[in-house]
Amino acid sequence: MIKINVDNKEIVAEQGQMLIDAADGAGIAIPRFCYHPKLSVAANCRMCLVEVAGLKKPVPACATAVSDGMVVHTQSNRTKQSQQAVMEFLLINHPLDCPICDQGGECELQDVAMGYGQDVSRFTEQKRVVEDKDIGPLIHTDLTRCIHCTRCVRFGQEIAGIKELGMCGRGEHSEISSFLEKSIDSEMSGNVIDVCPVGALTSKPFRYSARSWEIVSRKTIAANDSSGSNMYCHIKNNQIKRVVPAQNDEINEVWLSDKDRFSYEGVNSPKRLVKPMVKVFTDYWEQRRWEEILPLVVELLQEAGKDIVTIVSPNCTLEEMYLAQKLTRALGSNHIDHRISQKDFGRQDKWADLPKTSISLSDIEQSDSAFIIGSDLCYEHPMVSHRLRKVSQRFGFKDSRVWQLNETEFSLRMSSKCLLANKDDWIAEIATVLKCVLEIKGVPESSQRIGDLGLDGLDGENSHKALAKQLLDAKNPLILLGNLCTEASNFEELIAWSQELSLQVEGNWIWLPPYANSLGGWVSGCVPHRAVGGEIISSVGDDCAKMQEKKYQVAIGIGVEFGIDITVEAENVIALTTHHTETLNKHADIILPMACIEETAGTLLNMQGDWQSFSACANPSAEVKSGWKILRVLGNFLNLEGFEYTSSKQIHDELRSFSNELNDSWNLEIASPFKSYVKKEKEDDFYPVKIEVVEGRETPVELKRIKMCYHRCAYDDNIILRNADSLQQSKYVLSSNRVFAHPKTIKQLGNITVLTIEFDDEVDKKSVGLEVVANDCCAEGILSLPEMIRVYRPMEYDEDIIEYSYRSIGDVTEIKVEGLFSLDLSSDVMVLDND
Amino acid sequence: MLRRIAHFIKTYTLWELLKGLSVTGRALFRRKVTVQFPEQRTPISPRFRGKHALRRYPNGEERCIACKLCEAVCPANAITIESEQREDGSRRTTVYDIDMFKCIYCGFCEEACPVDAIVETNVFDYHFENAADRVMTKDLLLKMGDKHEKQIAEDREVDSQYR
Repeated sequence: MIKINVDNKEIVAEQGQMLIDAADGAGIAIPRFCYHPKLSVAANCRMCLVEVAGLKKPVPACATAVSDGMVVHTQSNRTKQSQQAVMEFLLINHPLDCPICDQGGECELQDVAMGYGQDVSRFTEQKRVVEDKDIGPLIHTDLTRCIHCTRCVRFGQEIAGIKELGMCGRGEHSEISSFLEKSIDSEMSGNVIDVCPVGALTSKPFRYSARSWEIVSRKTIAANDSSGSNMYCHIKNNQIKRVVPAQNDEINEVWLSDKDRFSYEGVNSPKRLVKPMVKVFTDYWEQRRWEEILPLVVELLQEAGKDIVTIVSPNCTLEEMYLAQKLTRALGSNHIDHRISQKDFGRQDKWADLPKTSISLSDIEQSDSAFIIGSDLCYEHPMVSHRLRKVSQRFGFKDSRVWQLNETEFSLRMSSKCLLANKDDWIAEIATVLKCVLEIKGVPESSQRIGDLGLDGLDGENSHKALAKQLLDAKNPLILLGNLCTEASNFEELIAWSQELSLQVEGNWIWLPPYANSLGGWVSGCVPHRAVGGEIISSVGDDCAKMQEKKYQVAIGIGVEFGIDITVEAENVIALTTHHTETLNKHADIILPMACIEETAGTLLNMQGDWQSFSACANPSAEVKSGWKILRVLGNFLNLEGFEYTSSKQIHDELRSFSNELNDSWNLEIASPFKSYVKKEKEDDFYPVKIEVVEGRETPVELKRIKMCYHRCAYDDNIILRNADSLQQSKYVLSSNRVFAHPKTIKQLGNITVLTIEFDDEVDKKSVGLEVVANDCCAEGILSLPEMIRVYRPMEYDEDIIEYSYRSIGDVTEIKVEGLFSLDLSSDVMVLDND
Repeated sequence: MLRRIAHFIKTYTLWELLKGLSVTGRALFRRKVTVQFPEQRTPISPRFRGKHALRRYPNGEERCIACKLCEAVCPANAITIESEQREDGSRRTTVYDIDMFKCIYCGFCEEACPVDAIVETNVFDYHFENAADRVMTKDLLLKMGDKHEKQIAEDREVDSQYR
């Protein structure tokens, strides 16, 4: 600790701290553009020049370290003169048309020019003009306004981990540019909008729709991944106009992922359901009033007796989840679940009551080696990958500290290494690494463990050995299980094996919950085998896997989109939903309009177990009600006890009182030694290829049968994201809305480029052409289709406007190439011998 | 005593009455100042703040760029603006409403406008037949501007040397 003197005021500062930090801490304002507390120091704007006693020239406060007894003048004439001069230089090439700039009113340049600039411009010459770049559907560029602070460039390099923007040219010709006119694809790209001090980079969906002074800012929690980023919704006329991050150093620091930032468009979507509706005939819906529809629902529920199944979206609030399970259990059913993407439920009773991460998000930074199992981490958990990126940057590019085990190598935008294996072989990979770890350890216990676990026959390759050594050498190794792992058919085995690995390397093991409130589902009792607070239930209900096999009287979905999130067969399907989509049209019978998370009060439980409560940011449309209100009134109509809540706070408090003593210890053990772990025989679903015969043409198709597999697409996690238009136009999505196949397979199918996919729409038969892309990672004889197919088509009256909708892969009736071949999907799945 | 005599004479000669009538008499022959409104009108200052109008550029392009400064500066909150990006990429209003009941004709909107789009014309005599008509929409304001553009331009020209 040292003392410095700023404007005749004694300030305590830390050794090595920059002057601007020390002044900020003491509340002394120094103007700045290029300085950003979370980015490196560039000192190229020169706006923070201050006079330091004893130095001949003014120095930049952002790049001057404090020293004991330093005397600084931020208000002296000399400081003012130099700041004025810098301001004049900056404004030479900056247009003075603030009234048409989207940043007007919240512009740092505007503010600083008012505070530190001159009152008139002496510059009468021509200003320079820079051509705007098209960098995708999210960010609008207006590069004439750029003042070359390079914050966006440093953001890309240091935070997003991908240098997508750079500064080209020198002097007056320098300009910010993307390389080769390509769009910005980072999953956190939206942050350059906040980082830009001027109106050079602004939000495209928000463009020109509001002014900063018209906006009311309300704090809420993002509900698109389980980190629970804090954010502000900017509201004008009861509509969310945009979203910006709220600082929380424990979770999202000052950043926000694109899916959190732009998903609000889904809230404002024209597809929002505004009135309760009932399906009268196929595809014919009638609007009803709440007073009419609730008795109808009650009647259905009473008729169904105990044959009711409830699926709660893992993005719902805790309050909604709690009431949903209370209602279902009061009706005598235990068929309730929230784990819509999980497939393996064999040993669900061994799970922790609160399966939260063992270390906090900020502690992830302290790791010195990380092993990611089954995750497209950047997309799934941007805040976790951001923390890991810091680890990677600490060790430099050559010393890769991050490993991933995946089917295809995902770009982590950091220095990383990769183990590639089929999903079914992930256990073998983990077991191999485990064996290498035990071998390197070489103590008697470890050789015994090798025997116990039946690892004798395994032989590690160099990569396994390197990973094992790195995990063992590290002080704080970290093993992460991602969403792809959660979706694996042997998920619980993967947990057990990876936990054993983490135990052997004395590291931290974390499972990344796939959705915003996945943990909330466990705490509130939205699982078939445990009631609220982890209480064990004797008659275990059906989990999400069993639900898809049986047929029920009534199925209730809360926030889930039947047909895409999950498909359940029932006489009557009641969906509490925010949107009225084509898929729901087909799968639901009664739809009740529910408020989005931004429109309701509630609580979300993030991956580290923080209970984050928030209140509504905007009022939903008149007939749209909060989920907890609908469930509460439904409880009253059914004459159930304990549904007399008047606020979501009461529900929260009641739930909290049950949740004081939750254990977070896992009891999953490796079921059987590796030797006896036999690979399950796969039932390959091959489809025969029907070749169209054209006379006089030798058919170019050489394949007789083909296997289909499905890949996840970006931004399809929940119904709100699926309806956020700008995100759906982003390159992230477009690049996954394609068919992938091995180059050889494409050749065997006659060098196909576009595959026509037809849907079984009762109204009109629609088809869509998907581009076929060669991908070496696909096995031969496989077509990999997107799980959710996006259909883009120009509007009839205006071809410039692209209409967007999406269909589930389950709706596909025919896959073909016109005039060449078609796949016979109607034929039963054929299990062929290995020939 | 003398005062009482003077009072007596004034009373019986109707002196006060004649004195009063002399003003009337003089005015009877003076030049008339009454204006026969609406056939006749008094001259109006170029700075007069009457009914509002939105102006256009000579090429027909509307001036307003939806900067919303008038909305922000309006002390009576009489102006409502909604904006969006027009097809050609420029910043334009979709809604520009002035509530004429709220407006206090202070002229701040005109002063705030960076492009001289919103102006107050010298039209001060107008009426509404329905309460709903009090809201001047963008269309009405632009029509108003088109109709009075010549006068508006002249007034700004005269006033420009003082601005």
